[in-house]
Amino acid sequence: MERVLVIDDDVGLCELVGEYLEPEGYTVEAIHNGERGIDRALSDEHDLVVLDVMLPGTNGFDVLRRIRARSRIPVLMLTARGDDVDRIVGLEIGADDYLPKPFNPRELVARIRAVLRRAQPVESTTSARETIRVGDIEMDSNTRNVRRSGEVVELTGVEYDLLEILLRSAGQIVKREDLVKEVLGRELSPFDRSIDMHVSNLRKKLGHQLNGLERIKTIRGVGYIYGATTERSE
Amino acid sequence: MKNPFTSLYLKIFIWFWVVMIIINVALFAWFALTRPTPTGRSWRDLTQIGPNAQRAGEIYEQSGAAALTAALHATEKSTGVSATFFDANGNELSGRTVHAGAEELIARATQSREIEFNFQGRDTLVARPIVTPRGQRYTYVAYIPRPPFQPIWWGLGLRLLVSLVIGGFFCFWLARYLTTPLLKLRSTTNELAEGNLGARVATTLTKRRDEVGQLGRDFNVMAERLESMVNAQQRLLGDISHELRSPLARLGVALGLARQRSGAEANGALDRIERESDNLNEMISQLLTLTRLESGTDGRKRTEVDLAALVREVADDANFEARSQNRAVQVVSSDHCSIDGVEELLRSAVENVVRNAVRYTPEGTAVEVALRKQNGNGDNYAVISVRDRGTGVPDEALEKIFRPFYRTEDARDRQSGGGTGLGLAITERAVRMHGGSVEAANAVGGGLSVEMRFHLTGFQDLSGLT
Repeated sequence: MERVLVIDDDVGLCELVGEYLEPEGYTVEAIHNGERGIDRALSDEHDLVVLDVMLPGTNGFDVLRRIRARSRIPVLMLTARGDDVDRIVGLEIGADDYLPKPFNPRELVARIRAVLRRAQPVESTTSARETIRVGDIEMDSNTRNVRRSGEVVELTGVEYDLLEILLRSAGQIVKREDLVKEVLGRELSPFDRSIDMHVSNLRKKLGHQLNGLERIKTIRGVGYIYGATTERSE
Repeated sequence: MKNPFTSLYLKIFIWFWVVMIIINVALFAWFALTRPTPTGRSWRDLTQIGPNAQRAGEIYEQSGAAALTAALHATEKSTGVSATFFDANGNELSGRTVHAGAEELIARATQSREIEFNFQGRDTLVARPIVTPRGQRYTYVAYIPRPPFQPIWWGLGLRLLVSLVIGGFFCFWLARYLTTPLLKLRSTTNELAEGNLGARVATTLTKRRDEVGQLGRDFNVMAERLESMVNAQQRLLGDISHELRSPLARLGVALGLARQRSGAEANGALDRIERESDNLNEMISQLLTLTRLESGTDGRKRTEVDLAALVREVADDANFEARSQNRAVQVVSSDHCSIDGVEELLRSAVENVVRNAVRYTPEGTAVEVALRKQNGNGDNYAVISVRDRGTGVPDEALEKIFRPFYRTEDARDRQSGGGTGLGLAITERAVRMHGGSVEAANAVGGGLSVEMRFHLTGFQDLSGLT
């Protein structure tokens, strides 16, 4: 049973979500205020946090910021639908994914699964310590550390996965739908721009240029390509 | 202030200045024209009569008639006073023309032995009896023409200059005094209009006890109220969005629970509930967007938006969605251009039109999207046109489709379950917010064509403004 912490002031919604997630194999703890939520999220007793942006008192972003300062626990943000600013800010601060509210509970389960799967330690599949090095970037798949020219770059889980896929096929186009499927664990749906937002955050963190070339180039209507001329070693 | 003469400051300044000069000139002219007749020069001529007469007598006695004539000629030349000289018997001695009325005047002077005057309208005739050292009696008659009106030009010039400078200074000061607070008020108004709701008129202005000070205070009261109203509205929008969505969110999860626990026979009804609650949710968010656009409280930042990329992305997404319904979205032309705007709003503007077109175009047809640069009236425009292959819209409804919740007579969209009735209204507001216009027309060969038109400005120019 995986443990999910839901931080949302809507008591009724929390009860319903708990009821819905139980048969799906999750135990839910619901907290209705930000301060308590931060304490509980940092208690290391949960596998994932579902966090509502609209919290009375403490703002959801502040809660996320304070959780991120101390922990890498996966966070799924619930945002107001149509509010792009919430979405962008949430992803920038380090949410692993977001779900516009009101949501379909099936969608919630799918997102929780995808985020949790990504957060699984990789040791189970590859026990060997693996390092990917492309140009000035170095990724350690064991510790999930990323260094650029030797300096550590803080990436969220999604950004790490995204970068890994892009680096593994550096110099080749990666389709947007593949990225969405592998990184966010869902099918690409029209008008869903979250993958582009993750890419844009990644660009901001790594720098837009690589030896005067575009580090991550957008191939309009197709996908993305990581720096065209780089040697690759594993 | 493109034309400087439209500014209140210059108007006040020039009006007051001109009025001051006119008053000055009028006063001077009135004074000059109504002055008593013997003006400065006439008086001088009169005072010279005595000595001149005495001297004429001496010249005549010592040098004779010819010398006298010459002397009188000289006097006339230099002063304009034409004189004649008579002996005691009333005979003219110099041979010069005798003025009319001279004889009568001589008779009076001979009798009174005093200087006698005869004012003949504008001119003066003077008779001056004299006795020479030899004891002879003569009469000197002088005709003094009234000096022609000769304004002293340099004096007038000086007067004008002084009044120009002093008047100019005071008018300048007055105009400044009147318009400076207005300019201050104006810049505050602009600030407020640009969305800085905290803009207030400075206390230097509100402390004034005159009408301008009152205006300033009233302005601040108005701004105060405006700020609290806009803030209240924004809070209300946030609350609505939260309060209306909370029950919808609970409804969604409860629906999921109902699905978990019920058999297949309930699926149809549950699907219907889900669709309707999705619809309701979509309507709430669009209504919120529309309200935000209408009230101008959308404080999102403007950036340079690449229209070509935006159109391409929206078309790609819509095409993806349309393919499942055996329809397509094609970009038929895409000129490179970008405008200054809020990307998300522009995206939803284009998206709403394209989605609408997909809804109406018959199966097996394609919606055509084009982005073209156009030139008209010396301005450049970016025109995004979206055309479907449907039945179009009755001509009288072409403008109404941009109204919220407007539905055409056949209202097929309600049957096909799509559309909140707000999409095109959002498009219209969003386009207008970007200084553009949107127009619908029935295309030749069938189908509706919607054109969004944006002004293209050099980005350099805009950066100077912001």
